[in-house]
Amino acid sequence: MAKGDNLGEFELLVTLAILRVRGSAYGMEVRQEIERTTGRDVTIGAVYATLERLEEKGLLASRRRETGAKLASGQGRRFFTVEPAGLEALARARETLTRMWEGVNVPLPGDAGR
Amino acid sequence: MRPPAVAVFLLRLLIPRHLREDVRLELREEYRQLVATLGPQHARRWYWRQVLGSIAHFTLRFFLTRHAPRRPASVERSPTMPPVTSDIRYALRTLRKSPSFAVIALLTLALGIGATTAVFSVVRAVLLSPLPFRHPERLVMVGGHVPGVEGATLTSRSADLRDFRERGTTIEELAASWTVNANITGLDQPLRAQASLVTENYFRLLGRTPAIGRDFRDDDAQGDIGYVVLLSHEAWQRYFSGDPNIVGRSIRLDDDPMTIIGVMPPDVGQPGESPTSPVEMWVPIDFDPNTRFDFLNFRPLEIIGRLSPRASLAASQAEFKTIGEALQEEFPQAYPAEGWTLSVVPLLDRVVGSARIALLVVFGSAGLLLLIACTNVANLMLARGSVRSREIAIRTALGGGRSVIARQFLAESIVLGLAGGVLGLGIAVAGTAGIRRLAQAYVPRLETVQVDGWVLLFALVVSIGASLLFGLIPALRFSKADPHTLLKEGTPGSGARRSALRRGLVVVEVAVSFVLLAGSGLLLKSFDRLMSVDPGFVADSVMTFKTYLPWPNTPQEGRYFQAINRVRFYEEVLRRLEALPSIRAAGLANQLPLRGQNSVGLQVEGMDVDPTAPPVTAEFRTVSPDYFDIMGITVVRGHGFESGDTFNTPPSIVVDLAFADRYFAGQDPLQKRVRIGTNPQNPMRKIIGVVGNVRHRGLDAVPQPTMYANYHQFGAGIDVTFAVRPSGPFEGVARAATEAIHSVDPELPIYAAEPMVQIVADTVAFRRLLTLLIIIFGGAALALAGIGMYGVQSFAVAQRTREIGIRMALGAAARSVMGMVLREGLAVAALGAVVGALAAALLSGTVSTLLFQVDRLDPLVFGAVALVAMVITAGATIVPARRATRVDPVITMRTE
Repeated sequence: MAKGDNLGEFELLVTLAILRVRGSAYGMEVRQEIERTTGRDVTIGAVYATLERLEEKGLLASRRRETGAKLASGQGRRFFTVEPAGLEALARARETLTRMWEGVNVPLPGDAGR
Repeated sequence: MRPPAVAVFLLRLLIPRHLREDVRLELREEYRQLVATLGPQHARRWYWRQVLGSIAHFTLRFFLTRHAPRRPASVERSPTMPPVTSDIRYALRTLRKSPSFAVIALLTLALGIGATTAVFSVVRAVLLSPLPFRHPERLVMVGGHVPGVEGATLTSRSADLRDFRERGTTIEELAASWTVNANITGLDQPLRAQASLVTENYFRLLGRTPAIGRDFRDDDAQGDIGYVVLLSHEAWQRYFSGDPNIVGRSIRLDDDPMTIIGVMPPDVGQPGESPTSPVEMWVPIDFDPNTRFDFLNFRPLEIIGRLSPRASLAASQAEFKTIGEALQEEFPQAYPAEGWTLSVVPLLDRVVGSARIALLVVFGSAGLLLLIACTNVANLMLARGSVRSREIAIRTALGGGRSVIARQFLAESIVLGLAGGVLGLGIAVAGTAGIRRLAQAYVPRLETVQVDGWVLLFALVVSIGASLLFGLIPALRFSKADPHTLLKEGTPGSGARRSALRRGLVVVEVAVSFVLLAGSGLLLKSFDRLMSVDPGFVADSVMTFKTYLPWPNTPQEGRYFQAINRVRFYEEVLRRLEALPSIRAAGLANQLPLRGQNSVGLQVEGMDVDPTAPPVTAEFRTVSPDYFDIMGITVVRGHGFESGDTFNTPPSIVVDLAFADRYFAGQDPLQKRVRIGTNPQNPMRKIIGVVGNVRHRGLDAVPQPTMYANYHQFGAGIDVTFAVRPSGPFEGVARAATEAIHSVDPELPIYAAEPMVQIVADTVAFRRLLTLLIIIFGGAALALAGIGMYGVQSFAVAQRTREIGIRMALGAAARSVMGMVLREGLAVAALGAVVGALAAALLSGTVSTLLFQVDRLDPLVFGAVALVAMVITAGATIVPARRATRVDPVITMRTE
């Protein structure tokens, strides 16, 4: 497997966020979803840069759809969906992490009360 | 509610084109939601964070990725490409091709733009933004400049208020304030507050009303001092935890019951208040008609006024100058004949005070740094242009017009400038926060500093201005060049001309850094001089703290009205302090050294007194007998005070050397007699000792003649400072002392507990900060100039590799070749140093008020700076020269 096909942490968050938002989302929804779930401050610029990078890699696809809100140019909003290759990358990422977690028995901060 | 316009503008400018519309739409949608849920202020801040963060992200990504991102198929390309965009595209592509050039140029620019923008944000908040009052441009301060008192403070007698009101026509309304201490009791523990007695119309004149409750009314003071109080927002939060039902609550101020009638808004403070001790509460007072606060040379008031709609500032200044002269004539005893003038100054000047000159000097330094940065980048671009000359020549030969080439260079520099500006904004945000934290205690209004739309606009303008500055020269140069020459020689113009241009830029760099370094040198030497001044006392191992005795509105009813009560209280406190195991010796003074002036009139026995002239004055301190010992003030002649003195023992006095020199030059001052004050009923006091001079007004102020009296005999006021020598560590001394004092009177606040060394450090802290800032700028300038010269010299040497090779092949020693290169480099630097020295000499006038015991043309400083410039030049020249001479001549010649 080529190294470039592995998802970075932020890429992982972005891809998962698209899936969490009913499987198709525009930039700001992705941003808000990550912010809501992780509590991190995320800028729209970072989100779009990552979305485009993942689209270039073929993990995501985007399409413009009429949904009411329009750009000044009259085009519809740009929605992103996860491609089969993106789902595969997600599966690999999960598997890698799960395997790495196996056998880790050190108590971590925040474990108490779980 | 629209998103902030400047942010939207930046967004359109700096976000990749195909994303711009989406980002803008989505940001606007969420912005509107935030306005509705969390309020416009939160929403604006959020919007700015999003825009700046996104821009930073794209800028960073642009420089990290070498290749342009492939355009996703879903985004259509616009059919016609406007020419400017293609220039920028091309510029981006070429910059991406030489990342090391781009990075160095970017960092250099970011540093210059960042420093300038950070200081601008401070200048804007402190010097440029209007005071938060109604028609602030018409507000003035009126009062007398008293000789010997520095700064923009104008002080007045209480009778002045009436006189100004009766005589002045150019000022429609006047109000006065008198800043005092107040003890708050009835809360958890006794507290000391900074209070101010103000005329009832004070806030009406400023045009502000309380955020909660009501303003003063004309009957609040009842012809004296009122029993109502307005709180500052800060005090409301600090002492009453922002209690919303504060209005109507009663507190005790100096044992008087006071009713809180309101709280001022957070942005309203007393104009001219000290940044370290802002006014926390206001109490109404009538100065007119009562004369209770009217003494001859007592000037506690700051009088503010509002110019009449038809009067100009100049007219008002002229009018009050005349009024002042009339007052001097009518009441010669109340107004010093020499040096005292009645002035009218804009209120903003009073608020800003001496911070103005310091800020402008720092701003100028930042500007010079930016100039060096621009010169550096211009040089880099020139050098790079030479490397790219083949490409340029081909483009020209193929019909690329001159304007196309010129525009290309400009596009490149503007792209660089804007990117540098964005990075610089990051530096500016951090720098602004840093300045705010470091200087808050010395510079007024600093808490209002923020990086807002105006600051961003400034950064944008500076970035574009800088781009033009460093981009125009190469743009013009290369667009004029003949392609044939370019292909042949690699650089336009004859060899002599092109190196002249580059050398000219080096001269500019050396000259500008010379100016900055000379400034830092002068300030550093001043600081060194100041630190080596003998203050006249030994600050080590002295701990100090203050208390303040209550002084109710009707003083006769106060616990400490009788002088004997005060003396007994202090005696008891000193006794209990000395009984503490942690304190070896305890003393007191009405005012510590370096804590400002306290001058009184005096009469020397046998000296003629002119009854029509203002009295001669000297500094005056009431001290305990141990004071000289504790403070390490040397007794030069005679002896100090006896602790057995009382009000009834023969009146005695101690003077300092400056006093003895002034009034008894050539005579023995001992046994001579002096009266403190001008009242003939005050006793003549015999001089029993002479002590060394102490710098009471500041380390940089010449010691004034000073008299000391024993508090056992002379009495002591309600405001004293204790100075103690701890027997061990300072920790815990203040707490033990507080308990000891509270065992005598539990209702007194103990405050301002600090070691004497801290007091000394505080008086030079602002100067230290300013010196540090200028040194940082000077150092950065030196570093940039060094890098720039290194670049230029490397390039010049590289261009001459062939010549050097021939010389060495013909037998020239490496040493002599290096000597030649070095000589040429140093000649350029020397020219730069001469220009810089001239410029520094011209500009040094601006810092002369910040200097101490250092001439603004100090030859040592100028010499040292010249030496540093030479050493840096030599370093920047030798390294590339050595590289050239080490290479085998044959190879050198072949590479050409």
